Amino acid sequence: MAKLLDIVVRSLGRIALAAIVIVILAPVVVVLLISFSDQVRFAFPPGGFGWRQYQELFRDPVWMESIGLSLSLALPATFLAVAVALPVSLIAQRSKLPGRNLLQGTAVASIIIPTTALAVGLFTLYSRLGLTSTNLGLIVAQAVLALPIVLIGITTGLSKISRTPEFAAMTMGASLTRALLEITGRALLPAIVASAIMGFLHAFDEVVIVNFVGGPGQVTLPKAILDSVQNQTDPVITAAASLLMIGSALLMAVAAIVGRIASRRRRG
Amino acid sequence: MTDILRVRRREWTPDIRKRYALVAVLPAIALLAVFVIYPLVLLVIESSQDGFEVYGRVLSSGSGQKAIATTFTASLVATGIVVLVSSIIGWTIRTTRRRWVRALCWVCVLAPFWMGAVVKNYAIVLLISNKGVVNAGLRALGLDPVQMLYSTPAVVLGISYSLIPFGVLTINAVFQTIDLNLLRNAEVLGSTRSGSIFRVMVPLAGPGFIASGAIVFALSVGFYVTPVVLGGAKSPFLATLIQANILQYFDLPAAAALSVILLVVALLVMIVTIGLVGVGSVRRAMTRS
Repeated sequence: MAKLLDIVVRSLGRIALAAIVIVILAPVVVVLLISFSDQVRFAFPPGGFGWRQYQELFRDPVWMESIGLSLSLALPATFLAVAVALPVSLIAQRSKLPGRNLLQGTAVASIIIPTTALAVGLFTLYSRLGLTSTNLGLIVAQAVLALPIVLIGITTGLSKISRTPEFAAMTMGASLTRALLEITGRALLPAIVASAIMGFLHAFDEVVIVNFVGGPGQVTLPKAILDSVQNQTDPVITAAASLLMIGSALLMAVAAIVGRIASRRRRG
Repeated sequence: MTDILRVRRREWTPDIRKRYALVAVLPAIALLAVFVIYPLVLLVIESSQDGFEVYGRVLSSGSGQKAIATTFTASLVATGIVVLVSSIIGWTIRTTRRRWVRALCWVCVLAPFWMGAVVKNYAIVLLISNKGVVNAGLRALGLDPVQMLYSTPAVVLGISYSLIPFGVLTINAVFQTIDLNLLRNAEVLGSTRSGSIFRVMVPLAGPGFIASGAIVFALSVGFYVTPVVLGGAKSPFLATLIQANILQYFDLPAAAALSVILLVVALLVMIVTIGLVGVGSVRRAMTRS
């Protein structure tokens, strides 16, 4: 009896896993498939295949501008997030500053603030400061959203680095600054790069705050996709979506490889 | 003589000195204070200008009540789905001996991440809209198409889809701490494979499930894109109601009050969870390590 039940439960588990895999991968496959169709209006199954969607995408200056704007916001936002997160992580593990863990904890915990609530809060703040519709306002907002992601990555990386080489450098006369920069900093570099990539993807993907505090001229790539999804299902979106998907996948692969190099270096 | 003795010698320490440390973290303190905490305080100020009149108005209106009920029910159902699905994927990753199965599971975890927030929802629109893939399939089979888009289940599907990667990563962090020998021991002592999962793994990972579920729930109540795209502009969700209050009715106090409700619920869930399973489990789930 128990054996029979076991077989039933295990087969159910396998069927569930297969169903989950299909449901999770279906949207990816459909987007890629439609992006290579030659249709003007969305239809399934697609009639023929070709490069039409990609040609339209690169012909349309609106899409190109939105990609440019997204990059010009997400790159400085990532830089800001790393510049702010790195000292927090370092101070939490390399100093006795009172409240260091509270600060790091607050920054990490900010990840659970409902994005819609934060967007309304920033909308209120920016209206008072005159920061609505400014690139600066969006850069700071994206940095705030990327901060916990970057901080988690750097903190995890730093906690895996032994302090012994740092101490050794200091006993041989290196200053603390030099030991931190040349020993720990070098070992931490892969983790910084990997977290910066994840933070960049998060900032690049941001659409809620842009929707609330962004001006009519501030159409980032995700915002452009959101606008056209709400208006009609233009198949050109699938080309933009596919490129976005492939770009993120490649960047994440780079982050993973960089992370692996770091752990190999620690072991070796 | 006394002068020489009086020279203050600073004790050597391998740590960064406090005053430099303070200067180094000032940007972070400023960023969090001005762009995270102060905006949230502004929400409270904005919504309570006339006492709590705005909250009374929002909570007594039909649309407000419906939005709150729908948002929290949908988030709860989505959380259940995410924890269940993530456990199945996570446990397969932890225990399978087939490399291709593990690789496929990881692809499933990463694929929603690759797509980004908007594209994910757009892809689901392509699947479930009236002219979408699923209905095309139904039509090909000679069945009547089903209206799936612009409904609460569509939003639940979208939220679950978006948070499964997060669920797997947090639950995986817990599964990594479970010694698989314990399950083998249970089987040696006569338990079946599924029996060992339910009697050994589930109790061990219990706090992790709760911590992961709490974070997933807190994240899902704040979803904006999914209710707007998959639920439609008039769907009864807090996100769409907040959007309408800001962009259509220009009723900032009402939007602020609804945002405060979102925030308070998310914080309460986290506090209760910390009380239930301890801050360690929550921290582990949040930092995935």
